[in-house]
Amino acid sequence: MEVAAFGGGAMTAHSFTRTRVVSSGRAVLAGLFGPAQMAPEVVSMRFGPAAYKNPCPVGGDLVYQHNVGAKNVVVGATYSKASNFNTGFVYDASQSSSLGVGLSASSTFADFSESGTYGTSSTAEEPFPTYHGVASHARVTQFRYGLFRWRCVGPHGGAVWANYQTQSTDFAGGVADPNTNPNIYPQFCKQYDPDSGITLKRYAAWTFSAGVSIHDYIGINLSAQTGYDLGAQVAYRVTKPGPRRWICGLKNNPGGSNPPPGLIQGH
Amino acid sequence: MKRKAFVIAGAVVILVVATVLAITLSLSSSGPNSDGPFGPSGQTNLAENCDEITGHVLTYAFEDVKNSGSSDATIQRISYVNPRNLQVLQAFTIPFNKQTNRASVMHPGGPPQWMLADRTSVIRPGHQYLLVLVTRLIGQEGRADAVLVNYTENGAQYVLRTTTSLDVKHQPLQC
Repeated sequence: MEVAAFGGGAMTAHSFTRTRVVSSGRAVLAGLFGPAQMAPEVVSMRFGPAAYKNPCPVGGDLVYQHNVGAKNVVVGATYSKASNFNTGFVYDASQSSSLGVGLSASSTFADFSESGTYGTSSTAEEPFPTYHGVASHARVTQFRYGLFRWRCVGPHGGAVWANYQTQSTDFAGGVADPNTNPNIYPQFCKQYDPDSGITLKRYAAWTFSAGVSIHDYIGINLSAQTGYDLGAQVAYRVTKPGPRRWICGLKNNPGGSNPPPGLIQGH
Repeated sequence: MKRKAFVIAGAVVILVVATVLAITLSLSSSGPNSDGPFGPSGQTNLAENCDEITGHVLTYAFEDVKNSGSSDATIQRISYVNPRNLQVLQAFTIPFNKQTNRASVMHPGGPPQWMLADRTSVIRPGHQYLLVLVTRLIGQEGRADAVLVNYTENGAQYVLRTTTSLDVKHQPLQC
């Protein structure tokens, strides 16, 4: 590990050098903790500013405890309700995601609630499968989560161990596309002829409220927001043969910016 | 002698500062405002429309504007930002209604007759209008970064830059 600094209620870390090992003839990266994971050969990460609360009344530090493993995170979703659609998704290099931070109610490891978010991004590009026809899929990748604990300054000096906190520490990779509920009813529509379509180059920021699957560890799932400052790409294409189709956004037209369209569906 | 040189040097400094100030002010006040009643201009592209066409003319009717001002706005010019192999043959606005909403984003060929009948350059307050660019593709592929709308409202000049780019391919090229 090259740099990891803790203090002042916010963690700053810059890059992690990993041990490269080989499994089944394919290059994999071994994490610092836990079993090796399938991942791109070059992975770096950048942490955004911490947006969570410091629970210490008079200050304290967030201290890393241990790795809690890779967790599934929803970074996007594509929806098609018609037969002549192709729907694709690419989680771009340097795409940033703000992932929920879990904080225990007290110094006991229990009663977690979401306490702000933490930004993590990756330099690895992940093309997800393109689906043809009627299909609604969440686009899921994995981030590694860690357990931290606040070490607060005591009222008369010294330090006391306080609340537990879980937050993302690293991008892990992996691609999964589970089915998702297709009933999102977007109202802002544009009509597209066959052989045309739209690619959202900077996928509109959308928060998947329970997008981080960490219920097994802390009893709740956390939110995941894919930002549109950098670029996950969502592509909708009307294919031939077939009639012209609608492409609709939940908050605005599919190419809108003020506000961005949010989730997109093909009809 | 020394005093005279000092005065001349001082005058030169004042002249230079005044000139720089004048240039800065003229530059900062030149050009239309990019945050007018049609909304703020986009700084970057958020999306791209792609279409494969068989002929060399298409009617691009994707962008719309809404006048959030208190008086009529007048469209002066609709154009592409940084067009490559795309030539605007005709550009106009039509009121946004049920029929307009069914218009294809990239209609092959020229505009249908009903579009031409509804043309207007006056955008009424609180109303939404569709921007229509009848476009010729020169060569096999044409691109534009966005659409630019120059307009006036209440005596002030404004410009709107949209956030969706356009990529038109002549078949057999594919999106």
